[in-house]
Amino acid sequence: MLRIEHLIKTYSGKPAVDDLSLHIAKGEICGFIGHNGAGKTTTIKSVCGILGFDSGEIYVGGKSIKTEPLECKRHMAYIPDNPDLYDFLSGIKYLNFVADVYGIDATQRQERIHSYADMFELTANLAQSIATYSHGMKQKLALISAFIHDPEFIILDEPFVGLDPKAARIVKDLMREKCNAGGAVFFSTHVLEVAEKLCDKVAIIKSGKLVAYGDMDVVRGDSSLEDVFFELEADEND
Amino acid sequence: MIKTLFFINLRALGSNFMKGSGNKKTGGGKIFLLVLLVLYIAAVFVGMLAMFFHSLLEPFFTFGIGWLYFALLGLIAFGISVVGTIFTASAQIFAAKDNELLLSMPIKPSAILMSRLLVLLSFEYALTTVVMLPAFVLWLFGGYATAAGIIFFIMGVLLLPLMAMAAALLLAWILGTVSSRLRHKNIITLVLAVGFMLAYFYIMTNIQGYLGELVTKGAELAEAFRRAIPPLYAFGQSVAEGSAGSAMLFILWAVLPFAMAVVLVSRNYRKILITNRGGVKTVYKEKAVKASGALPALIRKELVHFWSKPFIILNSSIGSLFMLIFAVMVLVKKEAILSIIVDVAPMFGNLSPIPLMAVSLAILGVFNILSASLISLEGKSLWIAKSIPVPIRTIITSKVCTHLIVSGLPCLVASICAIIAFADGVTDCLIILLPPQVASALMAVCGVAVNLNHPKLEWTNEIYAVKQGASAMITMFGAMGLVVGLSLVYAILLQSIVTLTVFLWICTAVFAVAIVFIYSGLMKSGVRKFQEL
Repeated sequence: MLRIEHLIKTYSGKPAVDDLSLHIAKGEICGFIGHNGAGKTTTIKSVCGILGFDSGEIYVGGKSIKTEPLECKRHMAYIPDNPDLYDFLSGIKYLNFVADVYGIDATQRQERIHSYADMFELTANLAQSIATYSHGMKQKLALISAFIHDPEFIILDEPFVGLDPKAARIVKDLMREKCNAGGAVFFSTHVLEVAEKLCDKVAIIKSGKLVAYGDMDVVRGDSSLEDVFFELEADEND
Repeated sequence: MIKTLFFINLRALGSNFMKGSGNKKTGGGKIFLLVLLVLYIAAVFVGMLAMFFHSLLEPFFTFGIGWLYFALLGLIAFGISVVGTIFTASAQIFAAKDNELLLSMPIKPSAILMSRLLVLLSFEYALTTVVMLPAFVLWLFGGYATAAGIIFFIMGVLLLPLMAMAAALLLAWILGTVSSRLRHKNIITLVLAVGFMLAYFYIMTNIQGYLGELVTKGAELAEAFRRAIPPLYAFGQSVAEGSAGSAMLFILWAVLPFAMAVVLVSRNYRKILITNRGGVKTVYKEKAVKASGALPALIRKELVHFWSKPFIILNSSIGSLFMLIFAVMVLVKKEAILSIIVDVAPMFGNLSPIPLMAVSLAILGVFNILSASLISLEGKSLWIAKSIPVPIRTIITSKVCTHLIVSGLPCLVASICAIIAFADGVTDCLIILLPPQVASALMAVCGVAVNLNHPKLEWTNEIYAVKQGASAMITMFGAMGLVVGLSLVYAILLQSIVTLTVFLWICTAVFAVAIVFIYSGLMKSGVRKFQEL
């Protein structure tokens, strides 16, 4: 579903992502872990086609984000770490906007809005302007908008920040459902316990380089993901 | 603490003005351009005021009502300061994004307020100096100045901004408090602002008549002025007569309201910031939804944004408002307009009313610079436009179309009204309809092109993207330059060769070619620029 090959992205000559390669197959959830400024968001934005990159290739569903960006975007959904949505729209208008852009017909969008808004307990607030939403509510709206067009691949940057425990649980369930239905999920997180429980694969990035990557069981071995993460951190410092 | 906050606010204001997209340093060229722009505005201001006060100096001092010269000057300085500060005061003092952050710190709310007031006061001092300087120079060299008068004048320059600040502060507070409790606050704010602006333009357009009356009925009006606005009477008396008593009175008039306003707002500042939030809660009731294509959805999104923010309308589409006023005027005041044209036409070589209508509408269209801020307004939400599966060409086209709707529709309404009132035959209809629409379309493509080259995506308040972006400035002054340039070319070179109608058609044809050229550029290099944002 996602294949990144030798991705290099620099800012003013400094590498933010340095020769990163990874692969996520259909049915897999891959966690992306790293300290602040490690290059997670840069990688994610490059995958979504928001940020250009210096070299390498990114394929979503077998299509290159460089040469066929629209095809790639049509099959994926992206949720940023800070959901800066159109504050001047109401929740329902935003969802309709997203549905229009992805070409979802009226019946389907009605059903999905109803279902997901109820699930995230946001229905009553849909008529409100997004400007009045809390961070968590914006995050929920962004999640609904991501699921509304039933993407095959979902990419999320810190999706659990600001969510209440119930909503966080719903997101985890939806991610698993998506994978069971043949989709894939790639998300960054700082919550190692969540990554450990939820992910089939894990990628650990440090200073732009992938320092560990593979099936969760293989990367973790007999210890916890937290131990592995700190060991890698210590190795690098030595 | 106030000093630290003051410099932070000043830096924030400066960076809002200078910063474009990303973390690029402001280039010397941009600074030079901005300095040039500020100097140009100041020169226009100074020139206009110098002409105005030059016509007043002699008669007022001859009739012994020299105080009225300064009272009027004070009134203008006060009015401009209040108008210039009220919306900024509202955004900077009551709706600043860092209010919550600062309130959470061990800082006295009064210190936060004072630091913000000082920034606004600095701005008012600059404005007051520019406004008052030409009248002062004329008076100084006109032979009417006295030593005491000069001292009291300088005192006036220092104190008038305090009066204006007090008024702006209270008006901004009332506006904020009232609007936060209203359901349709956008419309009400817009109506209030437009009403205010129309009143201002009405007074400015009739100023010659008032001046005539001032000179003929000087004593009568002076008395009325003295009773109606005693602080400015005191200011006028202190400078013109060198009266120390009036000066003392003026100090009281300036300092007391300011002190009272500051104490009043300062005491309630925390409460105001805490209670001035939220709006009317609407509960969602499920309704059938309609599906549409990506382009209509993008345009609808832009239009909702436009309508939801009165300051965007006021700062970027004032021409559309005037087009609608124009539409009503040509129907209701047809005879009056005709008589004005008959009076004015000989000055420009007997111009006929039809091309003049078209020129007026085209010029009003040029005042619409909405397209110049539509990219900047994406701000932090730009990720949405970049991550959706919509070609960038469509996104750029949606911006152009938004401008065309906002500017072209009122223009069409105004053209139809002008046709009903004045047109005689198909040729008249075409000239009233086409050139203004083409001018609007030119602004649409030029604005987007300029904005793609000078985006301002990092703002704390949308008003900075609309009002202070280099894009808006370049588009506005570029358009004004085009109008002035074409007028001069016609008046100096072509008037004797071609009629205004022919010249208008030539301009329309050139504009049309330019639109095609710029739009195709947008679809190629514009797309690349958007990708790089």
